Order: sequence, then structure tokens, then C-alpha cells
Amino acid sequence: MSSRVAPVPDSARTRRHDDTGLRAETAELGMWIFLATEILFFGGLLFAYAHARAHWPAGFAVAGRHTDVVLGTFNTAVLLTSSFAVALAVAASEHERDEWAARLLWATAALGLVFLAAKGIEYQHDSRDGLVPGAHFALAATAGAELFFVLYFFITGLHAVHLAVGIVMIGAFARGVRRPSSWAHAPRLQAAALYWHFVDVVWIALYPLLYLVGRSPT
Amino acid sequence: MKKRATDRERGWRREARRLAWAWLALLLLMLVSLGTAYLKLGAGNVVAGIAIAIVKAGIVVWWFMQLRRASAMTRMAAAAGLATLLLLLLLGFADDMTRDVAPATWQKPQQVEPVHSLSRLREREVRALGLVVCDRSPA
Repeated sequence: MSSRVAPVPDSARTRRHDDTGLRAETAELGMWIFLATEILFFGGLLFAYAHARAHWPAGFAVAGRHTDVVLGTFNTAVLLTSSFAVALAVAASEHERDEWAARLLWATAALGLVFLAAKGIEYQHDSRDGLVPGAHFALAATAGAELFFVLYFFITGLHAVHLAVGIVMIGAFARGVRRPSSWAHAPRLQAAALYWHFVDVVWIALYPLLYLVGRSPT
Repeated sequence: MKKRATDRERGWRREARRLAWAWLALLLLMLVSLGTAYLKLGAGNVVAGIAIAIVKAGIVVWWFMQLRRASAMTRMAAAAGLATLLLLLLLGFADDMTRDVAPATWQKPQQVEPVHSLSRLREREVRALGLVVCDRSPA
């Protein structure tokens, strides 16, 4: 295969392939462009939420009071901490502390699993309390409440799928980063970390919209 | 050689400290956000919630995602994503903001009547009209 490829002149190789600064920038830029499209993926849902809430403010307040604020806050802290861990892992890798980078990446993946477990418990509570939209929805008499929970399950479900992908990816990097000549170093690690942070940012936006709505005394 | 190692050690510690401060700020802001949600602020509740979320997202983007040391090109890609989101929200709401909305009364979702009762209904309608129903199927 390689014999068929025309030899790359050394000058071009230096410029295009071996320039680590350029490679880092390309990886980072590529991930940011992907994240820009992801913003719109979640953005459409965010708009749907804003539109529905503008039409049914009272229903959204009633429904919002029924979400689990304790688990929601716990999960927010877990994700913020995981973001800190992965940022620290990138810094450790950059400063050639691969042992630390590996530990921090494992911690990140573990925190991701803790988040998913708590979310699972939360879904279970929601189901028990009749908050799953459908024939037996408990707040059916309140206009807009069911719409809130349709969006709640859809958005948090989509977020959980993103997080699951992130856990697998960060786990792979945690395995790979220990080897000095491995693929799992910056700039690839930095690009993977960007994805993880993005999933965190989405949750930061969701926290007040899903868990803090309707909490103030009326 | 030894000096370089110490410099690197110092650089790592400085970076770790910076990230730790950002993390503490994020947790603190989360608690402030939780606290304000229980105050009676009217429209201020949603404004506070969203404003704090924007600050938190800013901290993550600037320090964790290191946009502060990214190239101009990368920053532009990030800004393009944000700008498109704002465009989506703005144009999406343009319709609502520029005309009066007369909300329809809430209708509880209902299940459609099963098909077999519909066919019975048709039979009844046919009888009411006095038409003769021919059964052409072989006996």
C-alpha cells in the first residue's frame, strides 16, 4: 500500500505532518467544529423547551417542582468535578505526568458512571411517581406539565447517551495514556477532553431549566 | 537540566492550582444558583438561573476547554457555534414576539376510538339513512 503512495518531500512532511503545534491546532479546531454542530443539536431542544415554557409557565413550574432537586444537584456537582478531573489529566499529560493523567482519566470515567447511576435512580423515582408521559401521567390535569416531562426525558436521555459515549472514550484514553509513545496523548487527549467538557456545559444549562424551575414560593 | 525539571514542576503546579480555583468557583456558583431558586424573585428567578449558568459555562469554556490559549481560528469556530445558537433562538422567537398569541384551552390527550367501533358506527349511519346494506359475500 505504502509503495504506491508518492514519497512526501521532507519539507512538506515537516510542514504538514510533524509540526506538533499545527497538529494540536487541527485536532482542537476539528473538535470545536463538531461541538458547534452539537450546540445546534441541543439548541433545537432548548428552543422547544423555551417555547413551551413561554406558553405554559404555570404548568412548567408545577412539573419542575416534581423533579428530584437533590439528585439533580448531586449530579451537577459530579459532572463539574469530572470536568475538573479531565482538565487536570490534560495538564498532567502535557507536563509528562502520565501516571497522574491515567489516574485522573479513570476518575473521570468513574464519575461519569456515578452520574449515570444517579440518573437511573432518578428515572426510577420518576416512573414510580407517575411522571412518565403517557396514559398514567400523574399531572395530566395541569396544562403543560406533560410537555415538560416529554422534554425532560428526551433531553436528559440524549445527554446520557452523549455521556455514555464519553465514558467509553475517556476509558480508552485512560488505558492508553500510560504508554509513553502511545496515541493517547495531546493533542488527541485534549480533543477528547473538549467533548467531555461540552457534555458538562450542556448539563450546566439544563440544571436551572429542569431542576430549579418552580422552586420559589408563590 | 535540573532547572528545567523544576520549571516544569512549577508550571504543572500553577496549572493545577488554576484549574482547582475554577472548579471551586463552579461548585460555589452551583450552590448560589440553587439558593436563588428558593427566593421569591419573580422573573428574577429565571434570570438568575440562566445568568449563573452562562457564567459557569464561561468558566468551563475559558479555563477547562482552554479557549483562553486557543488560536484565533479555533475561537472563531466556537463563536460561530454560539452565534448560530443565538440566531436559532432569536428567529425562533421572532414569530411569538411580534404577534398576539391567543392560547387554545388545554386539551387532555385522548386515545382515538378503536377501528371496530368505527365500523359499527358506519353501519348505524347507513341504517339511519335508510339505505339497504347488501352483503355480497358468498354465504
